[in-house]
Amino acid sequence: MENQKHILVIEDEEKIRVGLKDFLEFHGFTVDIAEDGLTANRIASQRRFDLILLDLMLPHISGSDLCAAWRRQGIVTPIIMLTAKGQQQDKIDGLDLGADDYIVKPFSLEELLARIRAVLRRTDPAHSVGRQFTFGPFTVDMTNLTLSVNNQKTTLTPRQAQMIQFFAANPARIISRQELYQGVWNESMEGIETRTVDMHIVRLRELLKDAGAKAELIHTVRGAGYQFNG
Amino acid sequence: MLKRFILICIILTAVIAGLIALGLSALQMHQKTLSAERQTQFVSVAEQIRLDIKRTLDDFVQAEQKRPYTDYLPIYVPETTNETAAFVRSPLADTLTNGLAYGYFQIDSSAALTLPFDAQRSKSKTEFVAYNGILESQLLPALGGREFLENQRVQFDLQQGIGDNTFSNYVVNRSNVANAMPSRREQTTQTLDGLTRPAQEPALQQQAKPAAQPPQQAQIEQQQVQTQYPQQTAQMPRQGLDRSGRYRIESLDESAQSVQVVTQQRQAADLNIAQQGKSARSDSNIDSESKKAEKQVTAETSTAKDYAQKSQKGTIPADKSKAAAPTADPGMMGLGMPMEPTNGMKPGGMGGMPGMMGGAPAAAESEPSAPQTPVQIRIEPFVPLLVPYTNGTNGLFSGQIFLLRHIQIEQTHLIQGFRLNQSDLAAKIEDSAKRFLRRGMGFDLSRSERIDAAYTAILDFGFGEIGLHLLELEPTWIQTRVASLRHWFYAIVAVVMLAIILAMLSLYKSLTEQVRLSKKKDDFISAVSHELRTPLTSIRMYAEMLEKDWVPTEQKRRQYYSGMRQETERLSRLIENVLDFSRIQRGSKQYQFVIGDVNDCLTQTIRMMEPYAQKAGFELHTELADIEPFTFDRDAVMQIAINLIDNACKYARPAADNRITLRTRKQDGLVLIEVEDHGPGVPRREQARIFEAFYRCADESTRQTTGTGLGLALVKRFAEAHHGFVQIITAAPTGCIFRVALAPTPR
Repeated sequence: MENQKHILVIEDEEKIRVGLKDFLEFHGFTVDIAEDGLTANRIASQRRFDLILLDLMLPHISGSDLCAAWRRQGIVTPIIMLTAKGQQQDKIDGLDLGADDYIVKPFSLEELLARIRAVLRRTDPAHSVGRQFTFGPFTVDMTNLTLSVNNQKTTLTPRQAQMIQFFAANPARIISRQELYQGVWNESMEGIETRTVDMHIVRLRELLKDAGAKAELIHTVRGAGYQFNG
Repeated sequence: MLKRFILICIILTAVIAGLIALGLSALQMHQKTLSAERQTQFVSVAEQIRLDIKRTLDDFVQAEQKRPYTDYLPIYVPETTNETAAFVRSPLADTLTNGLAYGYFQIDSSAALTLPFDAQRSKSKTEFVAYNGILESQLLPALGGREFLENQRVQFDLQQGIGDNTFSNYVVNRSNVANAMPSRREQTTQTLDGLTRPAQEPALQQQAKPAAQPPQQAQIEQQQVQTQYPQQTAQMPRQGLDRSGRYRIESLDESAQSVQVVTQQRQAADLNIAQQGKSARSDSNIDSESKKAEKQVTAETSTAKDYAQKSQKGTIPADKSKAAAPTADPGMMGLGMPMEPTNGMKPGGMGGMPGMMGGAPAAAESEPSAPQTPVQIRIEPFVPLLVPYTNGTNGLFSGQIFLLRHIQIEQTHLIQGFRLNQSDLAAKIEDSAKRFLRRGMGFDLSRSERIDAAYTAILDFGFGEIGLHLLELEPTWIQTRVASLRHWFYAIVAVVMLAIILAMLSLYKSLTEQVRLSKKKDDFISAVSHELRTPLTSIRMYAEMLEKDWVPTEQKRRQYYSGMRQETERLSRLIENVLDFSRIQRGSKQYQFVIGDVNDCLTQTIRMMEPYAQKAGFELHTELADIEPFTFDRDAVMQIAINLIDNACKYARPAADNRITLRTRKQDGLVLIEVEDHGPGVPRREQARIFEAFYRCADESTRQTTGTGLGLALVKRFAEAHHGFVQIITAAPTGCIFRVALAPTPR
């Protein structure tokens, strides 16, 4: 799976930036790099990443401001902060801004790799719900892409399976169309109409109904997104 | 810290506001206290004036009371040891004004007036005649008129004098009729504290209803008293102190005087009584009589006066006064009747006075025993009689005041008296007031009300009232003084506030400086931490990758080794800078001044920095002049060059011209080392601060360069250690030149 993950490294120190890129690429990740805040913001808005390694002290826009801005914009990409600021309050401030983890320079590369994996696990729906999970009255098998209830099986498309997996990983939470698109389609929603997501939701609801769902499992929350109540 | 400062400011402001309020309140209280003290002073002054006037009047009344009745005659017979009675001239003869007394006179029971003046010789004849006219036209009618006195034959007998039928009551009643004056008997004794209104009963009310007053009467009277000074009454209760007070002067109260009873030899008394009415005549006979008498007066005046006074006091034995037994002509005693001077009046001559109140029978009865028996003379106290002005004259009082006394010589009744000299009384009150007035006080005597008076003392003489208006010459002096104090208070408050504001500003400046320093230190620690951790991170990362063999290619491996070396040098420079600065701060920096070639030193530095500059995209150039060896610290000069080149590599990065030139030259005995770049230059507002320790342009979290803020600070200190300086010069077309001047140390 790791060779499919795309990581953005934002670091102004050239030697560290180059070293991290080499290290991550060596371990199978796809790596993009940015050397200042402006470049980082531009790249992050162009495509979706699975993880961002973010230095705090950056030219033009600080790492803290970038993190806060992205969280305000609804970008939920996991962020690991890399910084020389090792005070407890700095860590608290960083995590409060929306970072998923915080690692202080100088760090061990093995530890960094372990933290990257941990964050990816936490934020990857496949990791959180597993290959087989329940979705309301249904049992979902991600390996065979089937949805079954009372020994009645319905075949799912990969996209439908991913959508069900995403909702199952985030029960009772309101999920915006943007987040759903990023999480399922693995792309930034820049330039994509929300209509695409809505069409897929409509089809998924029909499929669930046909499969035997007695109640609506995916609710529309007006102006906010969708919510799964199993 | 700032919150605490703001809290202190708020507390101080509250305390100052409280103190200001307290001070203003104290000033208000001070003003009230001053007003109360001033009012007390007015009351005290009024009381002092009252006592002074009372003493004056007491002395005057007492002296007049002691005046022998014979003084009221132009000539009289003192008691002598001779048989032949000798007339002497009265000490009051021709005396019109005698202090508070004006124009002595005597009235007998036939209403005949006797004035002690010589109509022919008196220099004040005109005044006497005018005064006689006043007495005739005003006093006698006020007393009931000639007819009244004659027809009613009012007698104030010794025995009848007890009760209401006294001379005093008669005069008082006449006065009441004439002027509606309150009877002194109807007045209650007043307190003199100036704060209590008298419960005086108006005379007219008393006359109309002599019996007990109904309650509403007292209320009406109280209202009358209050309306007399309405403004004071209305204003003062707020201060709890009445501005007007009634001051009773009891000099003429009957209780203050007493009836005198003296004895005189009958012969002398008879002769004197026989003189009634003679003196008032203006014919020439008096002149001859006076001339005769005067001959004796010249020789005997003093003796006679003493004798007369002694005889009145009863100190002369009766047998010694027998000798004076002048005969009286019965037909000569009437007012205006022709009368011849005589030394041979019969003893018991009183019987010859036709108009005298019961005179004839009494004289007849007393005749047989008269020569041997001393005559008892009863002298009653003076009683005031107010005769209102009729011609619009406006005096101190509403009318002329006559002081009258009743003389009874057996069956003979006389009224003696004089007019109160009001102008002299006013002068005495004014003199007294001038003596007792305090600073800033004035006064005015007036019967009318004065609104502007600070305090009005009503001097109640019994026969009339005078308003003694005590004035504040400067009515606003209390306000002025309090205003002055208030100004001082404000000035002190302003000074205190200014001092506090300055102190707070100083504290604020100190605090902000501390905050700034603290932030600078935090930034420095953060920067040092960053500067230390960054190369360490690189070194550790490369070392770990090399160790774990996470190196994809051999080229990468060499790159990692090179990177580790560069980062180590960077770390070394950083540590060197920090340690140097620390040593300089502690004063423990040791310089090794040795003679050497500065160009050689700088060339070595250039070689060392060249890879770093190239890596950063710059070309290093040198323009070294011939400089003879001089004494300098080699390490310090190298550090200067390293820091300036490092600074140029960091901050001149977006330059089109990537040359960094190191230049040396000599100028004015100084060795100049210059590093020129063609970057954006240093903004003018930053130029003054970039040599400060820990100072770095832009915010720590967003700046585009790394560093601790110590490099240029160290350059400056190293230059100063060489007795030199550092300056920034703007380069053309862009960029800047950092010039370090070193003073060669003489060997």
